[in-house]
Amino acid sequence: MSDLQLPHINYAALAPMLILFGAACAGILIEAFVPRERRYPVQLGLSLAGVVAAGVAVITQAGTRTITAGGAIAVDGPTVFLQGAILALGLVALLFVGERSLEAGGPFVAQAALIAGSEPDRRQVVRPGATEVYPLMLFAIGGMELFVAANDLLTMFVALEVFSLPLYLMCALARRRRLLSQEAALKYFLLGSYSSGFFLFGIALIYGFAGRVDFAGIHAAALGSDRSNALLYGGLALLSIGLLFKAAAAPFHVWTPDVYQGAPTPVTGFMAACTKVAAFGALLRVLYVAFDRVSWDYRPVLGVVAILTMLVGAVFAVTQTDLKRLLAYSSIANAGYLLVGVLAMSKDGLSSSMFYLVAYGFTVLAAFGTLTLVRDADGEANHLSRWAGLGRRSPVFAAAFTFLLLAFAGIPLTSGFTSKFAVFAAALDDGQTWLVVAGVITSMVLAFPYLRVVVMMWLSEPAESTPTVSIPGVLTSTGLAIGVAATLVLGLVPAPLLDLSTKAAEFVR
Amino acid sequence: MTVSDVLLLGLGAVAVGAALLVVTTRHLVRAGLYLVVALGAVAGIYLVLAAELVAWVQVLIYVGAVVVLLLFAVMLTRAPIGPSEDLDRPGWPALLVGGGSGLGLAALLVDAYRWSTVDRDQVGDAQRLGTEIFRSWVLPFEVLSVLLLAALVGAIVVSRPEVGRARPRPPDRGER
Amino acid sequence: MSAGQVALVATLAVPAVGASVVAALPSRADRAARLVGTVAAAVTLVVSAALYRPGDGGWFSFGPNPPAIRPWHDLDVSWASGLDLRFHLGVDGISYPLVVLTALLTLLCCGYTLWHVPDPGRGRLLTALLLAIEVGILGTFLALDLVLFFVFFEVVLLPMYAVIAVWGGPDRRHAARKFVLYTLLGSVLLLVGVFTVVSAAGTGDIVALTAANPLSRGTQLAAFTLLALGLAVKAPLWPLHTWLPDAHTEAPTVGSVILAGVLLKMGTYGLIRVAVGVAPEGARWAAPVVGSLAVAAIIVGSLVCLAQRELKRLIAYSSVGHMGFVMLGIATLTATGLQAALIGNVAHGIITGLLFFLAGAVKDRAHTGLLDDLGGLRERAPGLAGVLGFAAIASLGLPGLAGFWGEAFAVVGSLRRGGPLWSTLAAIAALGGALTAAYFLRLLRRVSHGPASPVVAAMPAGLARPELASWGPLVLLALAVGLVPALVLGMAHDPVQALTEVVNR
Repeated sequence: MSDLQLPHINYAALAPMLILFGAACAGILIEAFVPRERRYPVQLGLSLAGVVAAGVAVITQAGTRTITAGGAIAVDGPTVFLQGAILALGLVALLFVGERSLEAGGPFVAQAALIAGSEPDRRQVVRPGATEVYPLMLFAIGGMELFVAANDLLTMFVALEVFSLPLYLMCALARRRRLLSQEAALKYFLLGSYSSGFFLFGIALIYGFAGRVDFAGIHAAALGSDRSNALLYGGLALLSIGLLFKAAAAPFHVWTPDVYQGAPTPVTGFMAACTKVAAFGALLRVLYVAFDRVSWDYRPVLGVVAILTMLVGAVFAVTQTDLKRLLAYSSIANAGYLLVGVLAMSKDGLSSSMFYLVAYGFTVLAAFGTLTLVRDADGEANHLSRWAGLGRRSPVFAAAFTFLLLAFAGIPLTSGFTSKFAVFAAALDDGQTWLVVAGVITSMVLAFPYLRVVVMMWLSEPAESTPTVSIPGVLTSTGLAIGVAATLVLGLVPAPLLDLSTKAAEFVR
Repeated sequence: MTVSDVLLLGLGAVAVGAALLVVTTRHLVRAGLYLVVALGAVAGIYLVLAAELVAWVQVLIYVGAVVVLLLFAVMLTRAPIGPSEDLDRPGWPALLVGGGSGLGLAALLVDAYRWSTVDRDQVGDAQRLGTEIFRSWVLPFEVLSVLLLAALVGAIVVSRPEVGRARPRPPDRGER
Repeated sequence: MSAGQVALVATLAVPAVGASVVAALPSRADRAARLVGTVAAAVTLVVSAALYRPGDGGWFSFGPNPPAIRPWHDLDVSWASGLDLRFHLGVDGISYPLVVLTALLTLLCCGYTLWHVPDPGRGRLLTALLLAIEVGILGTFLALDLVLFFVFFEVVLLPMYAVIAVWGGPDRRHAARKFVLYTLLGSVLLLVGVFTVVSAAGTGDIVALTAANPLSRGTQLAAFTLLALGLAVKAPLWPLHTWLPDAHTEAPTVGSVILAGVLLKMGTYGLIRVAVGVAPEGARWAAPVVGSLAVAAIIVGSLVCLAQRELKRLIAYSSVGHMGFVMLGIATLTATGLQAALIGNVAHGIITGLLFFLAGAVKDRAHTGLLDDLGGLRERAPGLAGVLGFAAIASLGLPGLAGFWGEAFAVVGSLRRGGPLWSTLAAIAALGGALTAAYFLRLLRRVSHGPASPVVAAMPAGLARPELASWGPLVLLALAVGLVPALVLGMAHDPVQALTEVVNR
C-alpha cells in the first residue's frame, strides 16, 4: 500500500472555523446534558464566546495570504475581511436572538417539525426556554466562514449545505405564528435544495470542462481547454443560479418575502445580513478568481440580472404593507446594487462591494432588531398601518428607525449613501454606466416606501390599537446601538473601513 | 459499440424511465419503489464505469437507507396504499421548469461532447477514493462528518426524555 | 488650522450642534429650547459674518495662472480617501452674501418662532429643523467639492419636508409630497450629473474643475444638461416650478421665508458655481434655451400673479418671475448678467423673506389670505400696511431699493450680449418687469386701500415687538442694498470676472 501523504494544514488559518464548529458541537452536548432551566445562560455565553474567539482568530490572520488544507481553503484579504464581517454581524444578530425580555422564554421554540396547532406544538409554544437555536446559529456562522474561504467548488458546496441546513431549521422555530414560520421554512428548504441541485450540476459541468474543481485550475482551463465552451458557460450559469438564489437576486428571489416574513425576526435579520455577506463573498471569489477570463461573456447576462433585481425589489417594495416584506424586497433591491459593485470586476469593485456588505448588514440588522420591539398581544405588529403615529408615542425609537430607513434610502450622511456611492463609482470607473443609471433610478423609486413608513410614523394620528414599543433588554439595546452607530459612523467617516477593504481587496489564486 | 456502451445506454434508459414513473405514478408506495429502480440503475452505471466503491455506496445509502426511510415515512404518516388522485395534479409550472432544465442540460451535454471520447484514467476503487479524500478533500470531509455527528447527537437529544425532568422545577428566573 | 478654517467649520458645526441640542431637550423646556436655538442661530450669523475678508484673493491671485475660484478661506481635508471624497469648504465673493443672508434669515425665523409657534406647537422641533436646514444650505454654499455639494443639497430635503408637512396649512400633506417628489427628481438628475463629471474628470474638486476644464465637449453638454435640470427644479425654472406655489402657500410662515429666501438660491447658486463653472462649454451651448425658459418664467409668473386671488400664492408666484430674472442673468454668461443674478438672488431673498413674514402676519390676524376679503388694511393697521407697501415696492424693482439692480442688470446684460435672440429676450423681460409692477400695485390696491373689509376691521391694529424685530433688519437691508449695491457687487466683482473668463475661454 502506498504511503498516504497527508496535506499540510495551517491550523491558524482554519482556527475561526474550528472554533465555531467546536463551540457548536459543545452547544449540542450542552443541550444533551445540562438541565433545561440552566441552558440559556450557558448556551448564550458559549455562543458569544465562540464568536468573539473566532473573531480574534480572524484578526490574527490579517495579512495572511495562503492556500491550505489540500487546496480547499484560501485565506487572503477578502477571506479575512468577509469572515470578520460575518462574525461582527453574527455577533449582533446573536444579541437579538438571545433577547428574552421581550417575550417570555425568547422568540423560539424547541422543535420545528411538530404539526402546527397540534397538542404538543401548543405545549411547546407556552413552554419557555428553547435553546436549540444557538448551536444551529453557530453551525450556520461556521458554514458561512467556510463558504467565503472555500477555494474549490466542492468545499464551497459543502459549506453551502453546512450553513443552509441550520438556516432552514431556524426559520421554523418562531414561537408566534407557527404555521407561517413552518411554511417559510419548508419553502426555503425546497427551493434551497433545488438551487443546491443547480449548484451541484454546475460543478459537474465545470468539472467536465476543466477536469478540476479548484479555482486556479478552472482559471487555467478557461484559457484553453479541448472541451466545448458550452460546458463552461452552462456550468457557470448553474453555479450562478445557486449563488444568486442565496443572494436573493431576481428571478431567484421569490422565496425571500415569504421566508423573511415567516421566520422569527432575529433570524430574518441574521439571514439578511450574514447570508448576504456569505453569498456575495462566494460569488465574488467564483467570478473574480475562477472565471475572470470570461468576464466579458457573463457580464451582460449578470448585468441584466442586476437590473432586474433592482427593478423587482424597488417596484414591489412600493406595494408592500407589511414591514418585514418591505424590508425583504429592499434586501432584494440591495442585492441588485451589490451586483453592480461585483460586476465592476476591478479592485475598486471588490472593495466597494465588501464595504457595502458590511454597511448594509449593520443597518438591516438594526432595522429587524427594531421590528422585534413593536408588539401587541399577538406578538410583533408588522403591518404598516399599525405603525401609524408611533413617532408620537416613542419618539426616540421612531427617530432611530427613521434614521435606519433614511440609510436604506441612501440619504447622505448615512452609510447607505457612502456604500451606494462606492459601488456606483466603481462601476462607473469600469464603464458600466447602464447599471449605474438603473441603480440611481431604482434607488429613487425605493426611497418612497421608506419615506411612506417615515410619514406613517410621524404624521399619522395614532390609532386606538397602536401597538406598544417594548423596552428593549440589554442585549437588544446593545445590538441596536451598535447597528445605528455603525450606520452613522460609516456615513460620516467611511474612510477607515474603506481603506481596510481596499487593502484587503486582493484574492490569492 | 462495446459491451459497456450497450450497458450504459440500457441502464440510462432504465434510470430515466423509472424516474419518469416516479413522478407520474399515482401510488405513493410505487413511487418509492420506482425510485429504487432508478437509483439502482444509476448504481449500475457507476459499476460499468469501474467506480465500484461509489456504486456500492449508492446501493447501500440511497437504495438501502434513503428509500427505506422514505417508505417508513409513508407508512408512519398513514398515507393511502391505493392510488391517490391528488398526486396527479397537473403541475404545469413544475413540468416546465423540471423538464426544461432537464432537457436543456441534456442538450448541453450532448452538444458539448458530441462523439468525442474521454479516457477513463483509473479505476475508482476504495483505495484511490480514500487517498483522494484524505489528501485533497480532507477538510470538506471532516466538516461533513462534524455536521453528521451534530445531527446524530441532535437526534438523540430530540428523542430522549427531558434532562432533569424528574427534579422539581425551580421557578424560572431571568427568563422574563 | 487658521482662524478662517475654524470659522468655516464653525459655520456648519454651530447650527448642527444647536439643532441636536434643541432636539434633545425635553418637551417641557420648550421655550428654553427655542431660546437655545435662537442663540445658536445668532452665533452662526456672527461666525459666518466673520468669514469676510476684504480685498481680492490674497496670495492666490499672484502667480502666472490664477485659478478661477480663489476662496478667501479654504479647508480641504480628505473625507473618504477610498472614494476620493474630499471635505472641501471655501467662501468667496459669490457665496459670502448668500451665506450671511442664510444665517440672518434663519436667525430671524428662529427669533420669530420664539414668539409665535404655528399649530400644532412643538416649537423646539421646528427650531431644530430650521437649524438643520440651515446646515444644509450653508454647506451647499460653502462646498467646493461636487459630492459634498450634493450631500448638503440633499440634507435640506427632509427637514423641509417635515416643516411643511407638520406645521403647514390645511393642504400641507399634498404640498409636502409634491415638494419631495420634484426635489427628489432633481436630486437624481443632479447625482447622475455629478457622477458623470466625477467619473470623466477623475476629481470632484470644483476649484480644479473650474480652473482646468478637463472635460470633453460631449461630456460637458451631458453634464450641463443633467446638472442644470437638477438645479432648475430647485431654482425653480419654468416649467419645473409647479411644486413651488403649493409648498410656499402651505408652509408655515418661517418655512416660506426660508424656502423663498434662501432655499431657491441653492439652485441658482449651484447653476453659477457648479454647472457653469464645471461645464462652461455646455453652458454656452444651452444658454439660449435657459434664457428663453427664464423669460417665459418671468412672463408666466407675472400673468399668473395678475390673476391670483390669494396673498401667499401671489407672492409665491412672484418668486417664479423673480427667479426668472436671476436665471436670465446667468444665461447671458456675461459679467453684468452674472452680477445681476447674484444681487438679484440676495435682493429676492431679503424682499421675499420680508413679504412672506408680512403675509404670515396678515393671515394670522385676519385668518384668511383671500384678496377679496382683505382691504383697507391702511386704515386699520397703518404700520403693517406701510411695511407691506415698502416690501411690494421694493419687490417690483423701484430704483433705490434692492429689487431694482437685479432686474435692471439682467435686462442690460441680455442686451449687451447682443444678437436678435438676446435683444428680444431683453425686451420681453423688460415687459415682464412692467407686469411685475402691475400686479404688485394691484396687490396694494386690493389689500391696503379702499374701505376696511369686515375681517380687516376685526383684526388687531398694532404690531408686536418681535415682529418689528424680525422685519426691521430686512427693511434696512433692502434699503442698504438698494442704495449701495456695491455691498454685494464689490466683493463679487473679481470672482465673477474670473468666471466669465473661464466661460469665454
